[in-house]
Order: sequence, then structure tokens, then C-alpha cells
Amino acid sequence: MRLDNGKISERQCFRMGILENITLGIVVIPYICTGNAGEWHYMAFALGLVFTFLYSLVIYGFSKAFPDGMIEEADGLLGRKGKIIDILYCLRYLLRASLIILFFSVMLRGYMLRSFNVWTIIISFTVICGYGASKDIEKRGRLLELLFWWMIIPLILVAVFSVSNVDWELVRMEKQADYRGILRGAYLVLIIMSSIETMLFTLTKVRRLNRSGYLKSVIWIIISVLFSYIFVQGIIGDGWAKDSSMSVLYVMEAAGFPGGIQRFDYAVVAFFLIGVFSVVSGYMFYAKEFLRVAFSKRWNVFEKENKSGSIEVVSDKWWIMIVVMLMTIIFSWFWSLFEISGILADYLIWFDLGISLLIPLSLLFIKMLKGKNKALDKEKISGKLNVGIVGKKTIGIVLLAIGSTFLTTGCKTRVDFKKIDDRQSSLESMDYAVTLTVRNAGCEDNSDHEKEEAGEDTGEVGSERDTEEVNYYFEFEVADLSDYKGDSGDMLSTRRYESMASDLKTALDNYYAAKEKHLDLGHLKLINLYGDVSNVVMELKDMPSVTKSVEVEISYNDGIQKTNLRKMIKKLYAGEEF
Amino acid sequence: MFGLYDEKNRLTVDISSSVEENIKILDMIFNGCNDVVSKSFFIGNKERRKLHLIYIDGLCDHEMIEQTVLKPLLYEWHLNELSEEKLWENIFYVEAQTVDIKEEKSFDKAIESVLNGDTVIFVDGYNKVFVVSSKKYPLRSIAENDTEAGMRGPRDSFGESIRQCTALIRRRLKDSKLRVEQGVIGQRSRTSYAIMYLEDLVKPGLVDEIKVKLEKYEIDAVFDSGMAEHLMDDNWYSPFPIFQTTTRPDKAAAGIVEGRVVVAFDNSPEVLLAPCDFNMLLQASDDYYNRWAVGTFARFIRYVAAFIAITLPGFYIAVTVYHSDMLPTRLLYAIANARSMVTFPVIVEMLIMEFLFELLREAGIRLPGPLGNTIGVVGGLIVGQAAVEAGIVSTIVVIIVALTAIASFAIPNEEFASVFRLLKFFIMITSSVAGLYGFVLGLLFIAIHLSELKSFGVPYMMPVVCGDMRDDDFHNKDFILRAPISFMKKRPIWTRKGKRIRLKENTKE
Repeated sequence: MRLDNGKISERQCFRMGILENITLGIVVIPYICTGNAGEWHYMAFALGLVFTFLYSLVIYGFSKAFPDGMIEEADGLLGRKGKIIDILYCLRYLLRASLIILFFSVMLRGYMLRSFNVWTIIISFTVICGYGASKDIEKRGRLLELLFWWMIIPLILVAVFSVSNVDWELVRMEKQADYRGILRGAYLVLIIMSSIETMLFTLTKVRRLNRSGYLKSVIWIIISVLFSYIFVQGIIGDGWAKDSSMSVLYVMEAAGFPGGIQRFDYAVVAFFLIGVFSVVSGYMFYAKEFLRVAFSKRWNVFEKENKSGSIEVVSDKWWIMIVVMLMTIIFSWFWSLFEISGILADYLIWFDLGISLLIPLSLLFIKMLKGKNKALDKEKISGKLNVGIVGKKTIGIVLLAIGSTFLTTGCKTRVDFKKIDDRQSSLESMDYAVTLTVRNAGCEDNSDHEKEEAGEDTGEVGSERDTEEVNYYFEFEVADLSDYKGDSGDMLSTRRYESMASDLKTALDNYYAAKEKHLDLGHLKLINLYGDVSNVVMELKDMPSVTKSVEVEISYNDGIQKTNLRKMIKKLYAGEEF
Repeated sequence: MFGLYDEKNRLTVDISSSVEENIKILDMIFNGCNDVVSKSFFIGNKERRKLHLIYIDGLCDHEMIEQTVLKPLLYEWHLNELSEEKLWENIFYVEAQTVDIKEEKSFDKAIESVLNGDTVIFVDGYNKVFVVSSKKYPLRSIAENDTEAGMRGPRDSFGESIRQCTALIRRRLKDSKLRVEQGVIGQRSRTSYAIMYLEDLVKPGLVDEIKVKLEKYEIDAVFDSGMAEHLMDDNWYSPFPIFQTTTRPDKAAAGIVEGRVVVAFDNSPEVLLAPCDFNMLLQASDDYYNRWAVGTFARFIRYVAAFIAITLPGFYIAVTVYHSDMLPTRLLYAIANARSMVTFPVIVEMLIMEFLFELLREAGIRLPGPLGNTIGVVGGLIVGQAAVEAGIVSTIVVIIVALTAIASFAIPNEEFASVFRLLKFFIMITSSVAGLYGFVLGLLFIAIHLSELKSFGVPYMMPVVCGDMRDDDFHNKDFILRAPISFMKKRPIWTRKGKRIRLKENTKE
């Protein structure tokens, strides 16, 4: 009757391949290509994809060479020495998992959880990934098969609804030769896409392994990354993409959904987390599998014999979670995210890819030497295991102790892990700016006509002029909701607040000091700019709450230029002046 | 007296060949049971032989016993000879004017028959008894189905009698290969159950697996199929049911022809169907009776409803508390304006309203029909309106809660709908802690759990998972899209191999 047999279907393999391999590529590749190859980034990207394809063929070759699975065969071929390989692979994957968790936790905090401490995100995400990784390959296959559309549908929606924002002028190649940068960029693309290596372990578990199915997976991975790359370049441009790896998230913000829902990006980013979950839980899963094989005989803490005599896994998820969490904590304790990125890059560039190729090659060589006919002693590999020495409850308590310690003490006090925005106001206790006017202090005032608009109260001028450097004049037109009647057709009443400040953040602080209310810029309808205010524009860029599609009017002495914030940011990155 | 029973509450004594001995034991067993009718008779013209008859008043059709057993034995006895060899056969084959009579050699089984409403006759000189089927329980007649109502299709529903259940299924499946295997569960309740399946369609091992699960525990009493269902469920921690329950005979019969197994329990109008998956729990019988486009649309609505039922309050909390930038500006102003009068934070406001709704639902169920409707009106309209005016909740929250409730009622299986109502609170809490991040983590947690669930070896999330299995044409045509009946040519993957074709065209000769 049972339909379970420890195998996965071709569709499950395909979906696992997509989810485990496109997430990092979508987020990081635009950043590394533009950062290394400048305006030749397309060349680096294309070359990187070619390398990726070749690498995937090598991985397929390995999977055919190890039909019983590389994890199992390594032990069979090398005996006890095989455990060194198991542990090495396990550490590689735990390292990757912990660094990715750290990277995405910081990114997530910056984009949509600004009132959160990064530790909270790290711990919660590690726990859910550990839970996801604790299942066997069959359940993992089913899980990712189920989650596939949860991530893909939001991305497709973003693609469909943001296509109008793609600037095809930016999707082109300009010739500024730098072959070293191109090669470096291409190599880094390969490094990022080397997560395809994990398919070496899944391919051997597919019920009916065939090459066309595998190639289909690889081609779709490449197409997905290519497609997202074009969108990233077309929507935010190479300058913005080069600025930070988080810039890619602003692409999702470009999708304007029908019905006035301008900001569906938070939901898309949240569902994009499923991809991150797939990658991290995947690494944790494979680490667990290596660890299980490594400690499957003499010292086993992962399995115990139950009453009926069969072996059951009891505590691997707890171990893996603890190790990943500890590694994340160690990394974040000693280094900033920037430093960690450097360490990660060095490690990946110099070691990781080499390991992923050389070890299977060596094993293959040993296998050829020993001869194909040597039967694999499967019984020896997966034979009856010793009873676990560490109980589930003990490990659970250790985990809770670690978690609660770091949660309560805040771990090490790190500036870059703290909340960005301390004020978590409820929706009704905030004020909502409708229009923002920014004028460079040195610019002549030519906006008197605006104050005569209907429905406006007299302006209030903030008195905060105590900063050392007052560069800008800010004027916020704030919605007055006290007599808002909904869809009655009446115009919305507004009131004005003016402030002189060195930057936008200070102006917002001034507003909070004066009104004791947080001023939300998430529903801005218009930004008026006078004079050179590029610094403020870049500040607006770094505020995820400000929609980048908001209309901008730039006033010159000879007229007004209309654009939107996204275009303006791109032009600023391109070196244009206003 | 307690010495008569073993630790499993079974009688350890044997039937004696002396009626007097048996009467003494019966007196001990039924001491103080005033509803037990027990009387001795003598039969024969020249020789006389003692008989003892016992049944329970109220469970037994005593008129039938008088007409078919007592009258022939006492008044129409036409044999003079009462030899040991012939007497038993004479009673069994000649005198007893009923077909449903059998002999029993175990005292325990005989008493079990009496407790089930049968009449037991002890005959002096024999260490065995006659059991005459004479059950006549106080039963309600077959009523119109009110828990799984449909616009089209049969209206009848199962009753509390196990025989009624088996008969209603047999009426729909006139196939000699339909097996009905009966058993008993519960040491004290001795509840009868019947496992029904089509022998040529069910996959080998499934019936045995169900039997093993049923016999796994020894329990005092099983009063409803729900209790047995939970006993058979290995995933006790999961809120999701691994059996489909139904009160509709047509649904049960349809399950059987798909190679599934029906387990009916006495005193329970709901039968269990196994295996089952998530998709089946969102299907209704009339999906198949309406045209395919209408059925498909209804299913799509149900899937959307299920998603709303679990996510809408959590999504509202996440968006209003953490990501208000997502809201269209006018809606944001409306919500902010409405909330300006409310004292509590969004999560508390939502919890109050959801709790209030669950309270009304629970009260509505417990109260008699007309009062139940009244409580809905009073609670929903008057209390809701008053809560808004008093500034306890905002109007938008009332809309959200009402919409969520309507969505949960669109799920055809009540047990399944309750899971969604429960998990809604989980998503609300994760969303209130971490916005959309928490919302997605909550959904991920549920997805991980769902992906590991199985119902008798069948992945619970079929066909979303494992839908590409070779030979599984069934699921692809009976998912959200319900293909025309003429397209649905195969049975599900869990039916017996070689028996998966269920529809083929007749070729003209």
C-alpha cells in the first residue's frame, strides 16, 4: 500500500533544484557582476552562466559515477577515512547555511523589519530551517514541491506588473573593456551558482533519473537567473545594483498592482524568504546527512532504537540548529557584515569550488582503482546503529538556554544589529505625508503659488535650527484625518509642517519632537525638489517605506521637469546632475 | 461475580449442558438488570425438555420472537421424539421459523448477542445455544442530510445503526465483491464496526492496516467514529484529519469505487474513509453532479475560502501593524480613522472579535434550533454593533472577522474547517509578532507539517505533491479543475494495480 520508498520524483527534483539554486543568484549576481565588470557586466554574467552550465554537466557526471550516492559511496570506498570527507562537507554546508542566514537576516531587517533586532530574525529563521531540514529526502522533496509556487507566483506577478517600469535603455551593453573584471565577475557567478552541487545528492534519489530531466532543471535555473538579471538591470540600473546587494529588493517594489496597491513588495519579499529557507534548510539537510553517515557506527547521537527494534532519528535537527546558530553567532560576534562578506568571498573563491570538484574527482579515481566490481557493503554503511547517548530533551534545553540567553542579553551589543527604527507606532497614531517639498538652502524660493491650494491650513514652521549645518528646507503636507469621511468625494484636508534641517532624517526627528507623532512617508503622492538635493534623494532611496514610483517634480528657473523617484535615483547613479 | 470475567472484560465460563447451571450464571451476570427478560419453557408432548430464553426488553423485537420461535416450539411442536441426536436439528431446521438463527458455543459471545438485542435460547442437555437475531433498537428514521447539504444529489444520510449504514451503501453498490467485515471495539461498549471495501479494487494491505490500527488499543468504550478515528491516528499532534468523515451514503459509495475503505461504527452517523488527502476534504458530492465548469468553479471558490479562512486576520494584522505602506492610501485613511476610536491594539482587537465569534458559534451549536438562530442575530448584529460603538473594535475588524467566518463555512468538511479556524489563531500570533515575516514563517511551519503527513501511505498533499506519479491520471483530473466525467478514466494511484481503469467507451460490434 505504501507510496513511500525513500525516493523523490522527477518533478520534486526539478522544483528542489529551482528553489535551492535561484534564490542566491537572483539577489547576489547583479551586485557582483556590476561590481566587478562595470558596464561589461552582461559579458561577465553570460560567461558565468556558461561556466555554470559546464559545472552542472560535471555534477551530472559525478552523479552517474556515484549511483548509490556520493555520501554513501565515500564511506564504502575510504572506510574510516571517508568520515573526514563527510565532516568536511558537513562543515562546508553549515558554514554556507550560517552565512546565508546572517546575510539575509540583516537584509530583511533593513528592508521590512526595521524595528527588529537581527538576533531575533536569526534565531527564528534558524529554528524554522532546522525544522525543515530535519525531514528525510522524501519529505523534503514533497515540501519543496509544495512550496515551489509559493515563491514562483509572487515573482511572476512582480515580473508582469513591473514590466512597464523596465527601462530598456539600461538593458544594453556599453563597451568599456576590462577583461579581468569580466573574468572575475564570471567566476563569482559560477561560485554563487555552485549551489547546483547539491543536485549531486538529490539526483541519485530520483526514482527515474534521466539526463533530459536534469538538463531541464539546469536550463530553467539559468533562465530564471537570466530573466531576473534583465529585470534588475532594466528597473534599477547597474549603478544602483552595484551599490548594495539589497538593491535588488527594490525591483520588487516597482510592481504596481491594480487597484491602487502600490507596495506589494513586502509580501513578495516575505514569500521570497521561502527561497532562502529552501537554500538554508537544504544546506542544513545535506550537512545532517553527512553527519549521520560520519557518526553512524561507533558514536551515534542522532538515532536510537525504538521499542519495535527499528531505528529512528531523534535529535539531528536540534544538533544542526545549534551548530548553525552558534556559527552564525560566532561570525556576527567577531566581524561586521561587510567583513563577513569578504571572508565568505575569499573562502568561496579559493577553497569551496575546488573542494566541490576535487573530492568527487578523487573519489572517482579511487573507485576506478578499486574496480567497479567491488560490491558496496550497504549493510555496513547503513547498518544497525547504536543507541543515542544524548536525549532530545537535553538538547532541547541546551537550545532553549542558548536562545534565551542571547535573546535576553541581546548577545553582543552590535550597532549594525540593533533596531533601525525604534518607533513602532500603530497605524492610527501616525501622520501621513502626502507631499514632500525639499529645497536646497541656497536655492531661491519660487514656490509661493502652492500655498494657495484649497483645503490647506496655514503652515507651521518648526523651530529646530539647532543643528550645526542646515542645508535643506523641508515642507511636509500632512493628511488631516480628523474629519475624513471616506469615499464621500470631499477633498482631503491637509496641513503643513516646515523644517530646516541638514537631512531628511533630522527633519523627521524634528517633526516627531514637535508633534509627538511619527511621520510616515509611505504614502507620498508627490515630491517637489528645488536646487541640488541629491543627498536627500539618496536618503529617500535608502528608505524602504518610500515608494520609488512616487512622482517627482524638479523645479528649475526655466520650468518644471516631471519624473519619478526611481528614474531620478538611476540618473543620479549614472552621474547626471539636476 | 467479578470472577466470571477476565481482564479484558470477557466471560471466562463455558456454557453448561445443564440449563439450571446456565440460569444460575445468567442470574449472576444480569443481577439487578430489570430490563432483562428471562424465562424457562418446556417443549415436547410425551417427553419434556427444558428451554431457557433470554433477551433485553427495548432492544429486541419480542413479537417476532413469540411468532417465529415461541409459538412453533410451544404450540405447534409436532414431534414426539426428543432424542439427543434429533432435537437440536429439529429446532434449528424445522421448528424455528426464522432464517437468522445460529448456534453459539461461547458464553461470552452469547451474552454479547443478548446485549446487542438478539435472543438466546438455552436447551437442556446441550452446551451450546441458539442465537436468534431479533434486534429492534429505538432508531430515528433516515433523515435529510443537514451537515453536508448539497444543491443536487441524494438527500439521505446515515443513521446511528451500523446496519442502516451498510444497507445504504449496499443499495448503491450492487456488487458481490463489496465486502463487509464486522468486528467489535470497546471492552464495555462492545461497539460494532464494519469495514467495507471492494475486494478487487482495494490495494492489498490497506484493510489489514486498518484492522491492525483498530485492534491496537483496548479501550472501555467507543461511542462515535470520532473516538476510533483518533485512536487510529498515529499523528496525534496534528490537527489535520487523516480520515475523511461523511454522513452521505453517496460519498461513501463513491469512495469505495475509488479503492478506498469505509469504516462504519454502530451508534455513529459518520463513517470514515481512508486513505484521504487534503484535496478530498475540500470536495463536495455535488461537484460531480453539476456540470464540470460549475463544479470546478465551486472548488476554486472553496480553495480561496480555505486560504482566506486561515490567513486573512493574520494578514490584516501584519499589514496594519508593520507594513501599512502596502495599503492603498484611501483604505489606510479609512482604517486609521476607524481605529482612532478604538482603545486596544490591532492584535487584541482582532483576538476579541475572533473569540467573540467562536463563542457565538459554540453557543449556537449548543442551543436548540430556534434559539441558536436568535443567538446569531443577537451576537452578530447587536453585540457587534455595540462593540463598534463602544470603541472596543473597529468596523474594519468586524468585516474581516465576518469574511473569515463565511470563508470557513464554505469548507465542506466540518472537522477540516475547524482546523482552519484553529490555525487562523496561530497565524494571527506569528503575524502580530513579526509582520509578514512572521506570517510567512507561520505558513512555512504548517507547510512543513503538511508535507510530512500521510494517510495510510498516501501523501496528504496529493496531488500538489507527488502529482506526477506515473499512472496517476486521476488526481490531475480531479483537483481544482474537475474534468468532465467522460475524461476521468482512471482510478486513483492507491487502487489495486491493474484495476485503475474505471471508464472506457463501449465499442459497437
